[in-house]
Amino acid sequence: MKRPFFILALGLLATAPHPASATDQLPNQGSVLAGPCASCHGSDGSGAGAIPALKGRPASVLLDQLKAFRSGALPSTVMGRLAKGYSDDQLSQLAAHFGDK
Amino acid sequence: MTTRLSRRSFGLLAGAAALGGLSACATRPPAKARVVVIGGGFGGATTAKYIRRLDPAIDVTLVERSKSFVTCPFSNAVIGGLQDISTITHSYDALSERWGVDVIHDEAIAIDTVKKVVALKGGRQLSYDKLVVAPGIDFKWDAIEGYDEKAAEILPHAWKAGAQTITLRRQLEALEDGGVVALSVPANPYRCPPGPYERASLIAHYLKTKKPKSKLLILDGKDSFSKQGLFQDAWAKLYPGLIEWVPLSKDGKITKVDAAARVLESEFGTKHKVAVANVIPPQQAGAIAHVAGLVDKSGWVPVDAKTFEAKQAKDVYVVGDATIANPQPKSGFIANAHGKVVAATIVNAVNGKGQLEPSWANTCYSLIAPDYGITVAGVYRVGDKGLEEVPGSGGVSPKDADAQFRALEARYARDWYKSITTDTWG
Repeated sequence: MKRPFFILALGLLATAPHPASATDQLPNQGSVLAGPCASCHGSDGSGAGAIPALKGRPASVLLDQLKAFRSGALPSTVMGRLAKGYSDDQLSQLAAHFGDK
Repeated sequence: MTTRLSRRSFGLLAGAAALGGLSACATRPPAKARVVVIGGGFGGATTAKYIRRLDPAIDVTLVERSKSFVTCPFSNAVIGGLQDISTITHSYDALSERWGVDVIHDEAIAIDTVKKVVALKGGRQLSYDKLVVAPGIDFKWDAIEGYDEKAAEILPHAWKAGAQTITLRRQLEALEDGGVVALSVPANPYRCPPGPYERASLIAHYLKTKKPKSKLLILDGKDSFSKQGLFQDAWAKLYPGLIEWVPLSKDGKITKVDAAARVLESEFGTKHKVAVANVIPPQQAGAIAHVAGLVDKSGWVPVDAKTFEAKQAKDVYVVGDATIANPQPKSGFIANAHGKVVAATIVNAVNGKGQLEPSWANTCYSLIAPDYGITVAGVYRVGDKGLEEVPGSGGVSPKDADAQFRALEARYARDWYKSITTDTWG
């Protein structure tokens, strides 16, 4: 009996699911709006190569930039075209999602 | 662990396994819900990961045939000889090890949407509370006479990345300078609207660099295409005289092939004998969507615009290329965006919270040369008549942009690839 149990115990260890390493809060309107941003800026907004990080920057600065992209005051490749798809309120939610309070 | 188990001890082990299962339940809280995801591409893998990321108390099983996934994005760069296929190949290790997704390498062959059970080819049956179907595309093998899976070994489609990508690359490497390459493109809708024209560009880049006497013929089943002005301006500038585009109205639609002779025949009987032919056939939703009765007459899956729940079955969500989601394009970017919205929808439903207002965005990068990138972007929402692009948003890169702008978009394309593949499989 002992040996099969030993085998079983190892088997359980090997197959036990690891806890997810990072868990966010339940989805909210900001996180749903922010979903596509992650495709370029990274899952948590930490940037990649030449694509700037969003994480760790003040939300107020992010909001100003998003609005400047939308108006064209700040030149961009694609951000101007994307920012035009969001209302003031939605841009605020995006800035709050990625930025520091 | 070399002990050979006798029949008797195997029986004991099986009994112990049953007990072990019970004790595992006693030490861990039972799962809030069981979600099965069919298909591990951009849409399916993202949904599986994000459900676990949002709520680890939900069990997620991902069913995927392949041990690793080769992306269509940047497969044109492999075909054009700019990078190796290993750079676009992704494993499922992070999904299982980091996120606790139960990844099963098998094939879903049937879905009972009433009993809520998925049957796998290997014999297993998976019951679900919520099912996500992300089957991507399959080809309509009967649409072009003479073009079937066997013919595709000689005239590759390379529209599902992997072995076919390598076949096409090798044919281009073997091409003699001066040979004609043909690219047959279907009518809409199909996976990745600008993809064939990016492919034409990167094949042209290879030919110009290595086989400058060669030509590329695009035989098209339509009269206009995504980012057309930007592509054609760039072709005239970078590859003058190398690319000829034959639209539908000039008899560009290919209806018949002779694979052995490498002859493509058009609707009105023009025969093109070429050295290399890349035939991208007409497409439909992946097979399991048909088997499960999720498709309509078009061969694609109608979904509720807000939830992406299949119109034909309750608690079955469909993401990615298989869906009817106009005006959203069939792109990896959108499939990943679908995955996140559906993950949020399922997690909130399981937790008794209401449906959030969905939102999607897309940016399709295309490389015309290694340092020349262009984009088309869009932001999407649910309007009064269903899915719509937010008025005033999106559009293509400016027509008059300078070389620095094009180089920056090419650089962003590569960085986007790093981000989205990590977001999906990392």
